[in-house]
Amino acid sequence: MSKRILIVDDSSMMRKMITKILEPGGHNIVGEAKNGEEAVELYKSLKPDLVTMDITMRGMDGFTAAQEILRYDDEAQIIFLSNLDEDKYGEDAQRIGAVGYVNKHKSREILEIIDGP
Amino acid sequence: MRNKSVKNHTPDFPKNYLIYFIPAIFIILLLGAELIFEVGSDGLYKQIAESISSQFPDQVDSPDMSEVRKILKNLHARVIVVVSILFLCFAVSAILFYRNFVKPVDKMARGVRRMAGGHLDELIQVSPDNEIGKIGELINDLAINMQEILLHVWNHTGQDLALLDRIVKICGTKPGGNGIPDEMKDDLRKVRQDIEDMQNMVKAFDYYNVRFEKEKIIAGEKDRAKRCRNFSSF
Repeated sequence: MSKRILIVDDSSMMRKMITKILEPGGHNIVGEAKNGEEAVELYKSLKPDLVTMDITMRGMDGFTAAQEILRYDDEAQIIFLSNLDEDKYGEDAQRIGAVGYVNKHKSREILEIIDGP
Repeated sequence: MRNKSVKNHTPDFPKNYLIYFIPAIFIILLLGAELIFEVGSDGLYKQIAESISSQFPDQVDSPDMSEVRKILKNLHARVIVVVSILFLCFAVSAILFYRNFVKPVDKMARGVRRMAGGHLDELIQVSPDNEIGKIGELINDLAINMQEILLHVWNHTGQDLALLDRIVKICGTKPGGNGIPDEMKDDLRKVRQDIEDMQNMVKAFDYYNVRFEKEKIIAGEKDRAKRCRNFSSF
C-alpha cells in the first residue's frame, strides 16, 4: 500500500538516495527536511503516514525531533535511518517509540519495514 | 602536515582586496585637495579679474570684483563640502564592502581551507540572507554529503571485512578440504589490504558529531549529552 512519507536527513544526497529507494516501491514523498526543527514543522503541516529520520543532524537531532513529533502525535510512524551503530542506537530508537531502525548502508531494508513481511 | 600544505596555497584574502581601495582613496584625496586648493587660491581670482578687465578695455573705472570674490568663496566652500561628502561616501562604501563582502569571503575561505584539510566537523557560519551566505550553505552541504559518503564507505568496508573473514574461516575449516589455495590467499590478502586502505582514508577525516569506537560509528558528545537528557524525561 502506497504511503505518504516525510524524509528527514541533513544530506541532500542521502535524501535523494532514500527517495530513489522509496518511490519505485510505490510510495509518495510528500516532503523533505534537513534538520529536526524543519521535520517537526513539516510533520504538523503535512501529516505524513511515515517519517524516515536521520539521527546526527545540524540543528535539532533526530532523537529530539522524533520525541517532539511523538508528543504531537503519539501514533506517528518513525523509522530511524542512520550511519550510527545499530546495536547501540536501535534500542534507544525503540524506547522512544520508533517503528524501526535501519543502518544507511542497508537502506533497502526500509522497504521491508514499511511494506511488512 | 595536511593543514600546512593547504595553507601555503591559500591567498591572504583581506590584504588582496584592501589593496584596491588604498590607491582609490589616495586618488580621491589628491584630486580633492587639488580642487580645493585651486578654487581657494588667489590664482583663479586673478585669472578671472584679468579676463574681465581684458573684455572691457575702454572702461575707466576698474570693475567691482567683490561679487566675483564672494562667488569664488562660496564655490570654495561648496567644493570642500562635495569633496568631503565624496570621501565620506567612499570610506563608508569601503567599510561596508569589507564588512559585507571581504570579511565573509575571508571567513568562508578559512572554513573551506579547514574542510579541504579533512575537518568535516567544521561548518561555515554565514548568514543565508545574501549571495555569499547561499554559497556558504552550499559548501556546507558539500561537506555534509562528503561525510555521508565516507561513513557509507566505512560501514560497507566494515561489512566486507567481516564477510572476508567469514569466507576465509569457512574455506580454512571445511572438513576434508585443503584450505585456501596459495594463489587465492594472495588475492584475498590484496582485497583485505584495499579495504583497509579505504578504511584508513575514512579515518583520516574529522566528522561532525560522530566518532569511531572499536570500528563502530558512535554519536559525538553533543548528541550523547542530548540523548541522556531526553531519555531521563521518559
